[in-house]
Amino acid sequence: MLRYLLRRLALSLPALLGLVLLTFVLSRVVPGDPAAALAGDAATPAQIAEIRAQYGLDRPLAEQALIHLKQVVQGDFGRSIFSGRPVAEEILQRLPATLELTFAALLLATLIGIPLGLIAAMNHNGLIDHLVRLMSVGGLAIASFWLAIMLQLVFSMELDILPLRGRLDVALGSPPRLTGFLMLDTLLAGRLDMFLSACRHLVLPAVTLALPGIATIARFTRSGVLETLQKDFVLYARAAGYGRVRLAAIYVLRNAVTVTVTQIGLLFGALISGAVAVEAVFDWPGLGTYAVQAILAADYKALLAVTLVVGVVYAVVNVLVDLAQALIDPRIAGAGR
Amino acid sequence: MTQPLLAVEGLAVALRTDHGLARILDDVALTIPPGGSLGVVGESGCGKSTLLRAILGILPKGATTPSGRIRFQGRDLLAGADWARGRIGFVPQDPYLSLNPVFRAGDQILEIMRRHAPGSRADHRRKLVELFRAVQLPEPAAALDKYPHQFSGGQRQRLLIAAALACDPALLIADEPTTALDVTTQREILGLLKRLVAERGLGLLFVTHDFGVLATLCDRVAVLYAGQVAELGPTRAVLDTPWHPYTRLLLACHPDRATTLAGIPGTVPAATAQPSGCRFHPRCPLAQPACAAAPPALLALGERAVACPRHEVPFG
Repeated sequence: MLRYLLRRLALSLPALLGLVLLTFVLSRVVPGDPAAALAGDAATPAQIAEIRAQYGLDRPLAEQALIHLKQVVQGDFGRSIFSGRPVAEEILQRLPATLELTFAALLLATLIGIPLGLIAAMNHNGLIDHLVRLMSVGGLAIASFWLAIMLQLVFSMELDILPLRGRLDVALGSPPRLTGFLMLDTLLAGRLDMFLSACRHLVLPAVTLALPGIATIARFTRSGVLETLQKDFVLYARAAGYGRVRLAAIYVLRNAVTVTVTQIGLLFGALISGAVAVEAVFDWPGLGTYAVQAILAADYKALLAVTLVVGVVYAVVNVLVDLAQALIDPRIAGAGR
Repeated sequence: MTQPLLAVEGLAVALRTDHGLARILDDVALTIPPGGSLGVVGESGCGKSTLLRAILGILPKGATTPSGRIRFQGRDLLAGADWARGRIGFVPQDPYLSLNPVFRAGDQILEIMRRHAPGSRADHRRKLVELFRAVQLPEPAAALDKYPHQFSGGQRQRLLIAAALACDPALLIADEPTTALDVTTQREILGLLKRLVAERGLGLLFVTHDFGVLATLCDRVAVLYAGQVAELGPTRAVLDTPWHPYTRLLLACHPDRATTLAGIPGTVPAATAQPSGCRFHPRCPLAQPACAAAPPALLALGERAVACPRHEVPFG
């Protein structure tokens, strides 16, 4: 199992290397001169050239790429062209907010999607099945920015039971920053009132972000369960006298979710990109809003770093997914344990 | 007369299909006395599997409520078979597909015992290791914690036999348990089944299309054709002097006995379009106009029974 895990980790390194180089090349072939943008509208060609030399933009592309790679490995993403602060610092400041949001959404999607898919499959072609299928089409079709606004209108403006925006009630102040995850920081500070406030702020953005995930997971679970129900071993288990509930919820589901788990890994990528829109609507100070600012300001240093960080998170999540799959299905990691 | 272990009377099962109602089983009657063994033979599609599924209470979704009676130890099985689980052990056809690959083999059997055998989990584990030893599984204690893919096909069938015996059944039902295995393994598994059934005094219902297997394992045989019993009797007698034209042709097809590889002309009729009268008459060399008119009754003649009035007429 450990060897399997190490192998999966080693396999994600070349992918990340490729990501670093690809994003670098892409950032250079797109139109727009970062030096010119930085120097401002009134800059003379001499000033632009000076900035270009200062940032190393006048060297050959291959050399720049190597320097970039070396810096990235050392955790140095350079300074933001826009704010002048180190990009790594800015990203660390914002990453926890996004991770908190996406993990909450992923958790919701899994905890709701899997039971929904299971129940739908057990009632194949019944009323519940049709409702779940309808809901999952809807969940994928609804644009998240629209849903976000609708949820704000209903739950914040009309019913006034959930906060409209932000991560925490401003009146409560904020806990000392230890991890950046408010769920943790508030608890570590022993402030239950802040923790509850943070939870309440998380509900609407997480639900918005989770809805397409719920739909995807429910669909894959449903088809996985339906496929597994056709297997000989299910018939055998019924003949041998397994209980109905145990048969469905454990015996069949464990086989069925192997496909779903793969989907959860892929879904994480969609969640992070989806977070951009959701963060914008809910004024969530995460990586998504940061990326939007960076794009608008042609801040290529920040953009490269965001892309890479998202790529690393994605790679880590998918190693975890591989691990989960090996735990679910003993055949994957080789001969048992 | 002692109460039979299993008594099937007038069993009829139909399946709703896109082409109409398929009458899979029609007026099937069989009995197995305690400790007795009955082989059920017939071509693919004759209703063997449906018969087993009716007895085990696992008919497919589209099946109509079966009519007739199935009694096990004097109690009705058709109204619900749950009470009999564990008392009827089932050995499935394909050992590769019948165990869930993602659970330990031992845990899968222990789950059956948890529901249907008295005692604690520790008792069950101890007993299962004993059973693994009885079915000659290598390293019986370690086998408990292995996954299905870590066993060979023959070993998996041994596991499933142990599972069938786990709750001390009175009846063992086996559905062609050796067809998925290679020939030498087949022999071992059959020998094992024969020994276990004899040692434990179990009743046996054995479905097969292999007459050779029947002769070694079953004292009586029922020949099924198109969902009906064509012939019933002691295995030796039926094999030596088959009465029903279908049995005669079927035996003639058996590679060990066949002089030519003739086969039986035609195919088993679709269950949605059974012929009138005797269901075998379109393929029967002895068929007469009367055969198409009315279905023949099952004639009881001593220990044997045959559903053909012309059973004494030789093929011309």
